Amino acid sequence: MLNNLFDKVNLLQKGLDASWKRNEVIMNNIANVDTPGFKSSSVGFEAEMKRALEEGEHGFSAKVTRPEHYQFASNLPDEIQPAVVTNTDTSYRQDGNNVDIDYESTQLAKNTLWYDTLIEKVSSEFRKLKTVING
Amino acid sequence: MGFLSSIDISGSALTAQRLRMDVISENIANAETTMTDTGEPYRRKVCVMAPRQSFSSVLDGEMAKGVMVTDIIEDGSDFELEYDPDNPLANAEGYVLKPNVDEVEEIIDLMEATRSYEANVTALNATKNMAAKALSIGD
Repeated sequence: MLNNLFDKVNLLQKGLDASWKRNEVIMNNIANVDTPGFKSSSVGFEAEMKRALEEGEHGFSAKVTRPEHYQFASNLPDEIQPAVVTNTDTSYRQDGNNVDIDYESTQLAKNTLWYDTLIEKVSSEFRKLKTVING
Repeated sequence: MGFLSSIDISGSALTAQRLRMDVISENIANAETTMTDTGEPYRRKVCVMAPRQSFSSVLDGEMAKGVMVTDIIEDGSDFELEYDPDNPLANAEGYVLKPNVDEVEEIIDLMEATRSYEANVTALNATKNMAAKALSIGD
């Protein structure tokens, strides 16, 4: 039991990292709202994480016989990293900029709430542990 | 991923937008300046903005961290002509060269800079709250 004591917390921490990264990207988009030719970016993480978690349960992994053999691409939830994608295919304005300030503002609000939710989950995990320890 | 370095992203935008507001104010203040050191009327100035990114961070494939004003350039468009024969600067036909500043355009730019500034303050506050929340884990 003690081996996977912090499994959930570690998983939530990955989510927090991705959310923080997304916040940075949104801030950068908003900062560059008046920069000619700037293209907005977004962060992909949750879908990839979900896929990895589901595959971890009833998926399959590559059989390796030597340590230098490659595993299947990002099969393990631990190896999933938030990916920053730049949206180069659109232009909203004459100067080539494609930052939609309304979209970025809603994403910012959404991301902040999501971050707070994850923090609350981490705290509740620790509260549970505290209860168990104190009896 | 620095804990507080992401606040600098919005901070750089606040600096850039404030500088832009300063330049716009200078344009409006000099909208009637018919003579400068160069012997011409005042020329409208414009800020050039670019993502703040160092050469090494481009090579490393890192994303830009904020925005910066790389240059303040002069608007090369033609000066306006105003008929004012009593002015000592008037030419033989009685016309005076006036700055190429359009006040309406400047006011609109000023509004745009103000709104961008506000958007960045909102983003900065959101980040601040998130960081404060992260520090409360385990309370």
